Amino acid sequence: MRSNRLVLQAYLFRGARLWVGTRSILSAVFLLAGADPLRLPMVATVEVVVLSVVVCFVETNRNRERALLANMGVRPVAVGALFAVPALVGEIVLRAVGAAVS
Amino acid sequence: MKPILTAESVTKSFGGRRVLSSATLRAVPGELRVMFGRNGIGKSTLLKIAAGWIPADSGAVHFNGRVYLSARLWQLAAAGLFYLPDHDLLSNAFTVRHQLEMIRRQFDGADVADAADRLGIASHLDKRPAQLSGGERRRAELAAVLVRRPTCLLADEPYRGIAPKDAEDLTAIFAALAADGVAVVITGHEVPTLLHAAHHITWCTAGTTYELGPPHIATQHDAFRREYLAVALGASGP
Repeated sequence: MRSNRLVLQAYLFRGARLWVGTRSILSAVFLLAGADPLRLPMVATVEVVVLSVVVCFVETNRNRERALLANMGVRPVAVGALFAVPALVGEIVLRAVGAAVS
Repeated sequence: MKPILTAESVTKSFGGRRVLSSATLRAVPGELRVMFGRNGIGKSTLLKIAAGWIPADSGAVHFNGRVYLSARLWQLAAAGLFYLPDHDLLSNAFTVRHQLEMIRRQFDGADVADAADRLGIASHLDKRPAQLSGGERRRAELAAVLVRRPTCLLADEPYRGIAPKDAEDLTAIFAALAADGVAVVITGHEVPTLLHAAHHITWCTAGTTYELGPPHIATQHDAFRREYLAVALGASGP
């Protein structure tokens, strides 16, 4: 994918927005289950990232953007990577906060 | 002139029902090609396969000197193809301007304001597609084509759900693109309009395609007249 600031911004922002939403709901579930949402096992962290990316793709399909992205020569795997970046950064930050708090 | 795109010997079945058994689609630079065929006969399927939007069961797509055994739209688009689906090219998540600007930056394309002016949608650039009428949305999608400046355009039923005035304007844009050297292939049932504008007619029937040639020759083809034109003109007549 060529470096296109508008595409990068749009899909990184969507990735960040939907990660925040997904993580908030999951954190509430973890709290209700008695687990600490800041200290998730690595496997659960990876699952949260994957789930965020899936939610982003669902949103992209709901908006019927597949044809637009494909017509711009953007590979689906590149879009997935853009969605994963904010979730990965967010999870790293949360783990750091969790470690600092303890 | 040599075709820039050829989808060759294409077969496709859906749930055991064979839609295409040996179909071929060609797009030639500088030509506006129209593919006619009755509803459900496989025109859109062939166009989607040629664009890499859906996979064929067998067959190959040749585009710009390369052979793609399993073509993907993003690959062909990067090489100069643009596929205009029958609906929903533009997303409702962004404004029309944002999306046209994304396309312009991706391909160092044409000026967004110029394209919008040409299609008469300059006042709608800051709206989302959901706020536009069917005709305005189609114009916005065609503005995306103008901004992209493709070498080959495949447009699936671009006239669906739009007013006759919009259809005339769209036809003029397709003709202008072909005059600029773009290889244009469109499907539709607007027989008089398309016969008037087309350089070449392809007839899709019974799972295969027939290259009928220029409209004045195509309209002399007995089976085409009997099995398609009579039905299509009868349906659109008074």
